[in-house]
Amino acid sequence: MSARTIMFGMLVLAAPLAPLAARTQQATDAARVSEHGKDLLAQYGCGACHVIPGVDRAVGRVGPSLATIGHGVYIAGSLPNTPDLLAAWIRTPQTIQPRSGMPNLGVSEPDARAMVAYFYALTGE
Amino acid sequence: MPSVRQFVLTVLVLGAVAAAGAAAVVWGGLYDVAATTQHPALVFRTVATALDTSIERHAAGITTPDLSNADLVRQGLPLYRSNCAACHGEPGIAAQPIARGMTPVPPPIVSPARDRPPNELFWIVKHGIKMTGMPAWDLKLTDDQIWSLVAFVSRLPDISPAAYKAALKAPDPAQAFLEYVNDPSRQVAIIEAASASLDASAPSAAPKTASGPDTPGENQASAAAKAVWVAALPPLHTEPPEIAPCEDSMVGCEPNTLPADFGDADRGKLALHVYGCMSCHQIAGVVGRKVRVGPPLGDMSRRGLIAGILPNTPSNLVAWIRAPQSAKPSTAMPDTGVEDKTARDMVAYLYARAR
Ligand code: HEC
Repeated sequence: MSARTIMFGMLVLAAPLAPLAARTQQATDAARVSEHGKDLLAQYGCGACHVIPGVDRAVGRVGPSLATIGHGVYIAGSLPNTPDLLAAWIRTPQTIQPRSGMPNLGVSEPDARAMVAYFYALTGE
Repeated sequence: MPSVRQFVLTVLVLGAVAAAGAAAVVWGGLYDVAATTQHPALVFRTVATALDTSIERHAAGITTPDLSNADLVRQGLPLYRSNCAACHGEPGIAAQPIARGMTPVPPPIVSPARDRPPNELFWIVKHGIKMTGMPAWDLKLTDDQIWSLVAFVSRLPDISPAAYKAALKAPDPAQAFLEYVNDPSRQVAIIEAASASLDASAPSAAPKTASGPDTPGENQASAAAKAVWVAALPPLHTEPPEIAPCEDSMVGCEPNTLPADFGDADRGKLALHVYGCMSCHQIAGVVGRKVRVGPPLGDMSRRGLIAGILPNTPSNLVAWIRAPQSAKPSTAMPDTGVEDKTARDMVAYLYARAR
């Protein structure tokens, strides 16, 4: 048996594992993004106004608790809860709702996306 | 070591006691079936779980057709409005009063629309659910009609209440509905417009009366409630509200206190139950499903702002409960015609229960 045959055989045997490896990679990527989102929530000081489980000192009560926002139907009672609109809300709440007590905090698009990932990963209390 | 005989005896005695207990409940009329008393949480959860697993099991064999077909959604809208909206409401539009005191309360449609797959929605509509108000639509609607209902209902969580109402006013509501759900960015513009219209119409000379004694007549009463929130509306601001920081958070250090005799908390708890508030909010002490159509209300006494716009004072909260859409036209929370006294009682309960 030549070395080439052996390598070919190994590849064939390992082939079914490829999608599994890809999926594990995807899962770890998602986990990393949501973990990053959690750090950002602390950095931007969202916890001054919101209860957010897992985020240090996030015990504020100006706005509602965000523990279950991931499976909420609406954002701010007004917008359908989709990743796009949730990111838009986090970036520009007062553009959407001029009277809102939530300020535009200058959150960048990728940062808002990471926060959304964290909210959707939260399973609630 | 207990012998086998002892073991068998114990099982028999315990079985007999359980059977006697069950018999007492059934023939002694011990279980309170009044819709004014809540189910004990354990009973509610057990029944709800049995219901969910039954639906899941019975709907398992149903194959969902392609529901993305725009024609299906188009046919679903008028069918929904004429057959279902009375009990399940519409985005931002309350169900008829007759549905509100039902036990179980018919869920606001976006809730099952979001949580249940289409085959389960189809099964529920077709077969109905025993011992609830949900009728079977089999023989009254064709399967095709039911699928078009499911196609429409499944898209309902994708539209904002403001855009939904705008669609209903359009010459071709179903077409407008489809345009909004297919392009969510257009919905943001609608909300901006709704907020702008409020700013334009807010009268500055509203009387500053607190919510007074019960006024007979719905219109007069809600006009009074409106006057309160209009007076209380903060000026249009682009800066965050001034909130003094304290130890661990900006507000929430001390719970708000309620003036003495503001309301009756026990009656308020009953009111939250019979108005079906727990079909959208999680409320400690009011038994219901784990829903989040609106935010949880566990911390109302410590909350800084109501709906993100009104300072959380007892009278603002009363005004909000009575006429939320006057304060925030875009909100999904419908005006449900809660009377002043009842709203005060609800506030008394919410403030008392807050942790
Ligand atoms: C100054 C206080 C304040 C800060 C800081 C703040 N928020 Fe908010 N937030 C609010 C208020 C008030 C609301 C309610 C708005 C409404 O319902 O209109 C809200 C609503 C929300 C909602 C929707 C909640 C719901 O139940 O629908 C999300 C999500 C949210 N905020 C995320 C964030 C994130 C992420 C940050 C940090 C980048 C943040 N907030 C910072 C005050 C704040």
